[in-house]
Amino acid sequence: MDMPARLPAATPPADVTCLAHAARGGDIAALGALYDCFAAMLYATAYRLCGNTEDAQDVVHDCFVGLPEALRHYDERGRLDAWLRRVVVRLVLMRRRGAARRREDAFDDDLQLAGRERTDALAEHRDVQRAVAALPESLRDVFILKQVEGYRHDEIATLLGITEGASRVRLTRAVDALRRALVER
Amino acid sequence: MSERLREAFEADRLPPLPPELRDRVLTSRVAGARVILPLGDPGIVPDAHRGWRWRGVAVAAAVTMMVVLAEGVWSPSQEADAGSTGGAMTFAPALARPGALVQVDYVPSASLASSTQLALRARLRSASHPSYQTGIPVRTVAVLTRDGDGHFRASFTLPDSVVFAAFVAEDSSRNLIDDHQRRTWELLTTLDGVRPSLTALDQRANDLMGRNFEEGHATVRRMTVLYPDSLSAWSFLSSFDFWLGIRDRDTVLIKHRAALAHADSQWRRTPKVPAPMLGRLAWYAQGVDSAAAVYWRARLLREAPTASVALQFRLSDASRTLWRTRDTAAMLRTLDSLWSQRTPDRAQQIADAGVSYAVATARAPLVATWWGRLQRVSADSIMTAIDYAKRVSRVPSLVAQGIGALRAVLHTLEQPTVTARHLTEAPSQREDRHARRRRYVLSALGQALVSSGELRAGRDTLILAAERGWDVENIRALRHAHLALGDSAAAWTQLALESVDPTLSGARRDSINATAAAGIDAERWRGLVRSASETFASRVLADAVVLSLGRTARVRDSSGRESLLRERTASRTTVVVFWSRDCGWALDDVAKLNAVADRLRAVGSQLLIVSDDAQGMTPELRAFLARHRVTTPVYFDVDHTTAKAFNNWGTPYYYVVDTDSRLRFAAGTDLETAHVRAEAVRLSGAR
Repeated sequence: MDMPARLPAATPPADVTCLAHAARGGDIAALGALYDCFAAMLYATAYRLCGNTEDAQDVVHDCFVGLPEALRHYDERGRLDAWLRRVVVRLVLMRRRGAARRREDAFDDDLQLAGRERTDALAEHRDVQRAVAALPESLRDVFILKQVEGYRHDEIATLLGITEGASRVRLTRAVDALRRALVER
Repeated sequence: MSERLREAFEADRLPPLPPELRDRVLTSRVAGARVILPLGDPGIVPDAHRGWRWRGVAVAAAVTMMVVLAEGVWSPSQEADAGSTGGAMTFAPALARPGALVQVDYVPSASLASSTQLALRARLRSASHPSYQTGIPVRTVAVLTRDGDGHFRASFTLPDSVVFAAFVAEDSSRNLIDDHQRRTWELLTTLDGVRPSLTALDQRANDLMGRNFEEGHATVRRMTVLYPDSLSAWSFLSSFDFWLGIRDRDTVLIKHRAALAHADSQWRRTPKVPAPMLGRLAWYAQGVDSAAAVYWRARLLREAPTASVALQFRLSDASRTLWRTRDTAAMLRTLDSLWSQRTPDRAQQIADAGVSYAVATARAPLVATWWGRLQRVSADSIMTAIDYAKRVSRVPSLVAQGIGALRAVLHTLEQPTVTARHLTEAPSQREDRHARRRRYVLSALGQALVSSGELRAGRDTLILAAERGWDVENIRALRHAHLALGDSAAAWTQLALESVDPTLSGARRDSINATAAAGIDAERWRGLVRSASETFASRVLADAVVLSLGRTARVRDSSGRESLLRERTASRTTVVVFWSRDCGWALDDVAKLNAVADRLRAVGSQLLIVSDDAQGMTPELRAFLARHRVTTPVYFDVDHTTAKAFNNWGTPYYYVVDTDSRLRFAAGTDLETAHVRAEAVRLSGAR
């Protein structure tokens, strides 16, 4: 079987719906174009939730490999980016159960800071990232989804299979724990 | 701080997306890789349901109930649905003779397709294994290796004693398990090479107990078709028909009467009926033909008083006598006699009753004797030990004995592997279950230590137990320990936690409020209570599920009017109780039903009783309810639709349904726990 030629990086399309239609029909170029549009955003979401690059890459990989079939269920009235982000969150949650991988200390990865000056601000950001990484998974998920990804509590409740009340409680606890952790530094 | 937090997670501060990932995606796609994405809400998938119903036994042993309590009947899993396409497993031969070499061909599910080797695990049942899955050995029987065509293959020799086996495939991490959507793959043995053997079908039905009503029923029906002369097959079918609420239907009853009449005519004039056959006749005749039941029961007790079914009848009779006479010593003498005549299938039941009544006498040597007996015959030694230790430690004169037993159990639990992994369970789920067991023991030990005056050790143990879950007894004991050790701040926190427990009596609540008013600043107390309320809801809901009940469950009210269950539960948090007038455990709870119903009603929730009376509101049931002043509305299942929706297998079982008619807690055996859960669900909905 011929391997696909490297597709040219697509510029953001005027209408991702057309791309979604084409990808759904098996158009590999359209899938590549969708990747170019959304992969970075989805990777960021996956990384924040997974806490390591390896799992985040796997999640993005699985998301796009499964996308053509999944797009048959995509309601075009909704925003594709938001729909994809929800899929990625679910993939992360699914993988959690599926593979008990040892969490690498990805937040400690100096490579991500390569080329930057290690200023106090960066050190502070790293402290924050470490503090978040140290949160229990249940609190970290809610924190990331609410404070970083911007989901509402009712959406988080649906995504995580918890109640809205539990989401609020977990957020409060996460913020308290982070405050304590950062103040103690 | 919010700004700092957000800035720290800006995309440009995260590791960059590796450029090669794009090629990896497109290459995978072109190579034919497919991933089924989880598009729905992350449905919380219940573990194999573990409702309990003794096959042919009216009185369930207490230890079994404790297993259900401590194990959690549904273990919530955060697995997202639609995660993978299903695999397919076939066996050659499809029906195996005992001891046969079996070839396995497995077409992997999407989630397992990338592995090179998989483990083939099996639950292996021999002819004498009991119903349900507890204590049935689970083994890795072969390593499946991927061939060039993508199929996984292996072979193994079926042990001679195995008549039925249920299989799953799992990867090397043991976290990815294809369990055929919880149905498992199955292999039945044959003796004639044509039909599955009677014992294979019997064990299949045993394996399906608590997991799948319909398949279990279909299996025993098949037993009666393939082996129409087998009275044990007809008897098992009668039990299933009863559980499904259809045994009294004319079309069903007529078949059973014919089968019984056939066996009756064959055996009645025989002077020497084999003991097992006497037992089958006596057991089967119950509920089919009352005159025949009286006849065969009398013959059984006269001619084979030590047969398994005779022991069951004698134990039931002794229990009824005890209720009337309250003579525990006489009961223990009877149990001693039964024990000396025990059959393997009745030994645990007798020993468990012996431990219960020995503990009631508070006589240490007697307790030790019965405990020794129970240990020898228990199917789940750990849960039996936990139950025993907890029971004993509650008796003041036996506390030291109880503490010793609890410490011994804790010592055993230091090895996580003592909690055997169920067939369809991932290691993390097994670890959760193990941790629950450990907390359960820690709580009992902490309370026993506090009550025996070892305050510091008790407090530390209780703190460990309180890390998760909600146990008001634990909270009270912890408060007592804090106070005794002079830590009043910690004691106030515990008192606030106790104050939000919904099962608290009015008097106790008043007492707490008065204590708080006299001893602590009002504003600080309000803050503690607010925090306690949040802690309560989050801890209780940590074990909740979210499961649609569908739209098929129907109930009939006492006037015969039918409605959808969801119409009855809409907009109110509801405790649904499956209840039976014929169940001792259910009868024990009658007195509490009204009180809990009143408390639920006071906060806008409700209790809904689903009775198993197939005839609906009979004059007898009406009289019973009136006699016990049950004012809560009683409903009746329509065509078994409600039991199916809940996958309910016994009584009394308590379920919590939220205002959107979603199941949040399943199959609890304790009414107070259901009350606590309902309040947590209500609070979460109100916020």
